[in-house]
Amino acid sequence: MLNQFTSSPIFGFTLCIASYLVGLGVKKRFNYPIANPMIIASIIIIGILVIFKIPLENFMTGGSFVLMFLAPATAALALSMYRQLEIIKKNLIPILVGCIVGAVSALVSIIALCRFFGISDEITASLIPKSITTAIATELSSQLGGLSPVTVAAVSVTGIFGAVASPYLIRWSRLNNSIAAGLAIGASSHALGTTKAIEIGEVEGSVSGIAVGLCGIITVILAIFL
Amino acid sequence: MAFFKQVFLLFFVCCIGEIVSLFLPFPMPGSVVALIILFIFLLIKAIRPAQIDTVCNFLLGNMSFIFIPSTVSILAYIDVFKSILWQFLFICIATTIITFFATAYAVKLTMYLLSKKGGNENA
Repeated sequence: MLNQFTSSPIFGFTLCIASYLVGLGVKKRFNYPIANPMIIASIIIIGILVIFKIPLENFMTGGSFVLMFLAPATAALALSMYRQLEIIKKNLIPILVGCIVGAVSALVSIIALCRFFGISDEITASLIPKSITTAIATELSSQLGGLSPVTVAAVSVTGIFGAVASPYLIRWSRLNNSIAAGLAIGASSHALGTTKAIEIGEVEGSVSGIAVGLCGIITVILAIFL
Repeated sequence: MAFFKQVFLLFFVCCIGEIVSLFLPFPMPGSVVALIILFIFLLIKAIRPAQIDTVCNFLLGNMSFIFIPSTVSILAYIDVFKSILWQFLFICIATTIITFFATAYAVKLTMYLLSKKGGNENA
């Protein structure tokens, strides 16, 4: 009976929405990056699946409906980049340099550290896209032969750390430069970092948003040569 | 009706992206191709922001919802995770710091060089 119910798509889909609502509620009460609605929702769902011994495949019949929106959400990033067109035009060279350096340094440092720790190729491929936005990262991860759930976890840890640490990193680096700060946040900790960048300042938020899209595209292009 | 038109337009661009990605000589996710195509369409004003903004704002504002199933799928890889947890966390945090500083100083240097060059031209 339970198995029959949980293997219908309506179960997984409803569970996603219900737990996301709980996550949003928690975020509203404690406005802090660690209170991330996605992570709260995922913990709730994992808990329910484990406690009621519901197979992951049953949940995913509904979950795959949600996943289908990944591609249009990625494409929607074009609109958020287009909205920053004026800033892009004015600072084209610094933005391009920043995003290329950001994408290259992330790629090189991840591969180097994975080698150093003797991490398997599969996990390395999952970690390579960890500094870019989840939508592009999961696609790139499976293209490189990685495990997309590991990628989502790495992207989340990166984003949460970036959102918490970026104000300190800006202070320690003595930047005094809004564009450099915004690009650094976007390149290192994608959309989650951008939420912090928006709080820091308008320019920081805008260029951080640009870096999210651009670094994603540049990383995908760099990955062609891996 | 208007909303369905918006959804159709965005998903149609995604379909074009998937098709183009099949014919590209190098691997690139269809969604990223769609991102690039949509950006070009906006630039050449083939699509106006008002034609897609409602659906795009909804997706951009609720992106994290879409990743819930992927995060839950970690359940299937829990053993892989347990064995590398500390290395995993270290790599995530260290590379974020490295990327931050590399980007920040590269941009600062570029802007300094550009302003110096601009200054000389004015002089």
